[in-house]
Amino acid sequence: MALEDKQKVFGFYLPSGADAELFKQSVLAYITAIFLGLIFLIFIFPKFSDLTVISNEVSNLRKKVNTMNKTLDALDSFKANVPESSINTVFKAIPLSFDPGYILLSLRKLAQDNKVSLTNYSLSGGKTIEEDKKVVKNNIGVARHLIKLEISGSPLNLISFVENLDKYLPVASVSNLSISEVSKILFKTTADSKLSMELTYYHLPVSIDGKSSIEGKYLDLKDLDMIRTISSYSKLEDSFVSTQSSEIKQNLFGLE
Amino acid sequence: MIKINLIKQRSTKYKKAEFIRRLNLSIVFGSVGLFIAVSLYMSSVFLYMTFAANALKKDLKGLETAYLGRATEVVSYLRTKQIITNVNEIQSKRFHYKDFLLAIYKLFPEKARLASVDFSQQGVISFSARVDSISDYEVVLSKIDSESKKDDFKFKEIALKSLVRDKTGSLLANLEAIIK
Repeated sequence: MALEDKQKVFGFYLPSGADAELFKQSVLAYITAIFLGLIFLIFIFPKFSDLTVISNEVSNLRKKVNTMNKTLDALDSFKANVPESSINTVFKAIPLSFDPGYILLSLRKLAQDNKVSLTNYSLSGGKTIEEDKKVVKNNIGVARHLIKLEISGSPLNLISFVENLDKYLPVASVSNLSISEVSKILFKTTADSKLSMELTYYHLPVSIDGKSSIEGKYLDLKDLDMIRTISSYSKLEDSFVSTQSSEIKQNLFGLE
Repeated sequence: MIKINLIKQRSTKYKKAEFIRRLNLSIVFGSVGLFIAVSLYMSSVFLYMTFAANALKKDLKGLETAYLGRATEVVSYLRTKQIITNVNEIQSKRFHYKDFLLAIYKLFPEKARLASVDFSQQGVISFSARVDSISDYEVVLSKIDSESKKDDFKFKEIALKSLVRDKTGSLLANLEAIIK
């Protein structure tokens, strides 16, 4: 058979009887598929990881926007539901700094209200003005201050003092409580008793940055109830403090 | 004589060629279609994601500015939360002295006086009652007995540790109450 009779496709001679057109079509089809496959593998497939990256970025941005919306909602709700006076009262529950003078005046006022006498107390702490100016940046939690206290009065008044102490600001914990008899009044009236106890007062020496996030620190309904409860607690009135303080200053310097 | 059906052979060959032709078309259109579909999908998803990311970034920036503008409120909020958390913790650990003091006080009839109460032992309250006579002491015992029958009685057991008569002639009953 002559070579010239054979069909030539892409420079190759096809066997006799082969359909050159069909062969050409098949080769082009496969080349197209392979070419597109290669383009996909080289250019498109690597972009899938970029797609995952951008998809994660969008997902993170959505989360951040949701969190920020939730945060702003929480602030709005706080502003709407908690009056300024309640916030100030809550701040008095655990103050920024320990003020022994304020606590002593509070205890005196409480003792006076419950008709008992403060007979003995020991408290330490307080800061110089310079120390007070120093800002504590790290969160070290609450600082505790132990105060030993002795009061005397009728047993019922002593119990009333302990009861009211639980609802008095700043918040204190009572421990090592004991009551003992100190005197007996002869005319079969009530006998005076002495109540000794240890009080732990707290302060939160933490400076909060206004840029801090409130995420995960949202006030729930239980917290709002607690704010309402604390708002109902008694506290030394500001006017009382200023009057007392000015009196103390005057007496200290012998002024009248 | 051998007979060969040439028509059948040609027909088979034709069918095979037709099948290959169709297969080729499927490969071409399939791969091109798939390629276009994937490319379109990728491009549209990329476009959507890019627009979404830009819009979200813009929103976030606006919200962050609003948040930073409320720094004073944030400080108040966080401080309130810190205080409330700590107060909750303090109150959950509180021993309710008042409840037990009142429970002890309830045990005392008019003629008895509360002389001492001591909470230093865990789960036990030591207290003492001062009375003028044995009959008054018996009144204390009967009062304890009647109170112990009530449902809200806070003690599991109340025991007499000692009964002392002092120089003035009054009796001091030292008792111990085990908290329920």
